Amino acid sequence: MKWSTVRMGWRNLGRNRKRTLLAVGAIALGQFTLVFVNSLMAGFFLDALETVTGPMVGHVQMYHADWREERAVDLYLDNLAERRAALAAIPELEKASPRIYTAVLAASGERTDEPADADPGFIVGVDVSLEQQRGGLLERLDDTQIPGSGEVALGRVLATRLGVTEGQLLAIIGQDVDGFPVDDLFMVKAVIDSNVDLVRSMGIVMPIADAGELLMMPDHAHELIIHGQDFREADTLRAAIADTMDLDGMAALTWREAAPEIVRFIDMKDWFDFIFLSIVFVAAAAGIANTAMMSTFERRHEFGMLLAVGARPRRVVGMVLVESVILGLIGVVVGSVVGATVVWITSHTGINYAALGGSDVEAFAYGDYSIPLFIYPRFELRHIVYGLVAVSGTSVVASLWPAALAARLEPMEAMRT
Amino acid sequence: MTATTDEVLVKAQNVTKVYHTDEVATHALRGITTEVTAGEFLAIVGPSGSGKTTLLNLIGALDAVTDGHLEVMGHNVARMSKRQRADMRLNQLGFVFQAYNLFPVLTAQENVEFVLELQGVTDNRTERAREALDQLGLLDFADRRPTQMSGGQQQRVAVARAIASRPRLVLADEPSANLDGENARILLDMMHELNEQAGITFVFSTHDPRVIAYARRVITLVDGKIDTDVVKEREAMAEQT
Repeated sequence: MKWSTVRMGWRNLGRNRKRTLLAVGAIALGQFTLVFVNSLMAGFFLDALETVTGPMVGHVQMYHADWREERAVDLYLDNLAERRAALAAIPELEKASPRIYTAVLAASGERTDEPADADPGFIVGVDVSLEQQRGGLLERLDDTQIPGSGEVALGRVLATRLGVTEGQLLAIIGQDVDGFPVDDLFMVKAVIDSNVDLVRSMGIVMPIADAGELLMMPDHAHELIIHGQDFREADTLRAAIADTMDLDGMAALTWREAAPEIVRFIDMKDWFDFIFLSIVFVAAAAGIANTAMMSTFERRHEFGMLLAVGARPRRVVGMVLVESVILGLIGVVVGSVVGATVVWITSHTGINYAALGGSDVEAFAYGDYSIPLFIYPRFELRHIVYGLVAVSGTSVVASLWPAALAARLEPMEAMRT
Repeated sequence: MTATTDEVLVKAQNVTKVYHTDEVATHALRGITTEVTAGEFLAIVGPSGSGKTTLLNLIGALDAVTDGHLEVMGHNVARMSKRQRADMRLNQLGFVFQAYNLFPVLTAQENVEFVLELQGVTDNRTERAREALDQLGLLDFADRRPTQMSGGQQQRVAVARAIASRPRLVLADEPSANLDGENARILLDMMHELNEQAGITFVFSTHDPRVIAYARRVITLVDGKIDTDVVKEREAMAEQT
């Protein structure tokens, strides 16, 4: 490609600025839509993905073979310390976080003249130091919210139902692992939100030692939430676990197996990406084809003159193509800059989808996942690259016909127009 | 004065051109037979519709003869491929059009350089372009775009573009048609000088008496036929110009 062709293409775009601006605007709008909407989707779906592969089921989940179906308190993994030590020897493993779950009744533990209303809750006993790490259940809490011994972090929905706030006492009544009634009082350290619906709606999160003591199940856990270095390597991690220990009587499921409905939900993102990429493609094609056609018909005389002085048809084709590609690239750059800026701003401020729809609902549940309606878009460079490739390809395709028409002109015939 | 040589650049034998529009056949040229030799400064004159531009277009390999034989630079134009004709236009012919036909987005220098680039000239392209502009007295306008120049200046750029590629033959279609008297005179002086000094052959169509006065040979067309073909004496030329 000759530099002069690029220079002429660039300058030719300035000859009809209104039309050029209109075409650039159409392309930029398409690219903006691609970048912004896909970032919005990425924020939405990646949040789900991070929740599933983080605090919800980890990369691999281990439990008693019947736990998943029955959720009975006595279906636990025993010899927890021994199992954790064995798991720690696996190079691919980052952490194995044990959890205890059991349903209880909870009520305010504050002294009142009236009997307190009790509501169903769910004890989630966790290793607080592990759960504070990346991908843990308590990752989003600051140090002042982390429950210590005798303390709990209470899910916001349950706290609201019980009328309990931070610093107050919570009474818990339940059954231990042998079916005997147990009860105790805990200090509410924090009222928390979580994308794990169980925690947000019913969760009573406490140190696993407290849960074990209350439910008479020391060195036991209902689940081991296991994280490797990369959630995409979950199958490898599970194979390594199977090589390390006897899984007889236990189940070890990857995140895809443990939460299939949410995985299908997340996989929808690829379709959204495709749909918006198609929109950009169509918008760019329409803008560029229209501009290239108009420009070619207006400049028949000029192309004729070019051919008259001896230019080869391919030179004419090159001029038309270059103009279209430059036009497309300007549109992509403008759309990308505007899109990235809006994404950057909203990735900090968030977008309250529920409020936009006039609702004050903060989240809704799908499976065990609490879908937040306050979305933080996430910028991904590939969205710009997709647009760039789509528009560049579209520019060439959309201008091929006008370029071919220009190249086939007979010099004298064209110069008469 | 540059003497013409015996080298024949254009040889037309009984050339006919008929345009067909719907069912109407228009005879633009009817049996033209003539030759153009190197170094000539030839005017093709005649009233509108007489076939001047058609003859130039045929010589410039921009159009095809309907009948007869036309040789340009020793090549039978009818037998040349589209690509060969384009190559001949690029490397051996120069064109000056009535409406200047400069690229509006390029400066004067870029317009001249562009043809050199098409020719594949890489060395001294800029120098050659500036030299051509200098010959036409346009060096100060090198960085101006066509819209920033007068008609006369634009036509001189067109001539600079035509001669920069060092053609053997320059075809000029009504070069002074859009120029006032002064600009026409300047342009013709320069074309005449290029013919005299550089030996470039000029063939131009015109019905402008000012242009005809400069020509050493004048072919008059009437209704697509050669009416007269006159070679002026040097004395007569001096008197006229």
